[in-house]
Amino acid sequence: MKPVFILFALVTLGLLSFGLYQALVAAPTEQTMGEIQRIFYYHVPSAWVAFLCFFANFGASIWYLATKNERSDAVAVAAAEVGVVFNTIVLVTGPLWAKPVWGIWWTWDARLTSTFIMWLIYISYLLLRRFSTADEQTPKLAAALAIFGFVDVPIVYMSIRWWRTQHPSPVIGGGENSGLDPHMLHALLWNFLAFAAYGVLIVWRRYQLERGRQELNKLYRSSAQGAV
Amino acid sequence: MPRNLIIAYIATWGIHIGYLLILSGGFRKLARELRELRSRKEE
Repeated sequence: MKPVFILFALVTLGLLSFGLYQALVAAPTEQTMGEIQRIFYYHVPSAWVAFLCFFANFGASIWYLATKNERSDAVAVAAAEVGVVFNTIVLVTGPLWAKPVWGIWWTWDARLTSTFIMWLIYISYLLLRRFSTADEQTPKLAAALAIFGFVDVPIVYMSIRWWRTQHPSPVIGGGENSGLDPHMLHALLWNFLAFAAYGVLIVWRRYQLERGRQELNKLYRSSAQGAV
Repeated sequence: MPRNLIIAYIATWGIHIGYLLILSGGFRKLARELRELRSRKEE
């Protein structure tokens, strides 16, 4: 591992520790929901990082189709996989927050349903990459799926603005009636920074793994050609 | 502290640690396959 990676990992660990302190200790207790609202500091940043990862997957997929550059394909798969990890966290922490507040674990409202569909789209992307037998065509097929699949991401983002259902309206960027206590905003932004740094770190590591796999596949192909 | 809050925080880190273990397993598998390929080439 490169020293810069280790240094970045240590900084990220510090940020995550500080974020945890902000979420559980420094942030004030919300008046209506009480302590359970502190799930917010993990739930929302995880959703934002998932969005960023899927956006990176979208950009890298377009770039791959335009240039056939293997590096951009590696970025695409790394970002999608890490995005699925963060999306899974959103789908786990959301119901844990919903049950004591709404009285139900799940409802098929616009935000929840579109988030679940987003998760399914990127799971199908990863399954395509894992099980496709098209070999050299797989990155192209996956890139096409990523571009069409990305259509759901802005729908998820806008769902609580377009439709008023069970999920609360956005607290940031939601218009005149939205807003957040400055101390809560502070804790939220620290956690977003920490999770974004952690997201970059694991995308970076997953990218290295994918590049290694690409090199291995090349070696397999060259040794198979040599044997013929 | 509410039970669901504790579960949510532990689940978050459980998922992250689980993924890190999968990732390290991927690196181990890659290194093993590289070793095998090199030894086959040497033969």
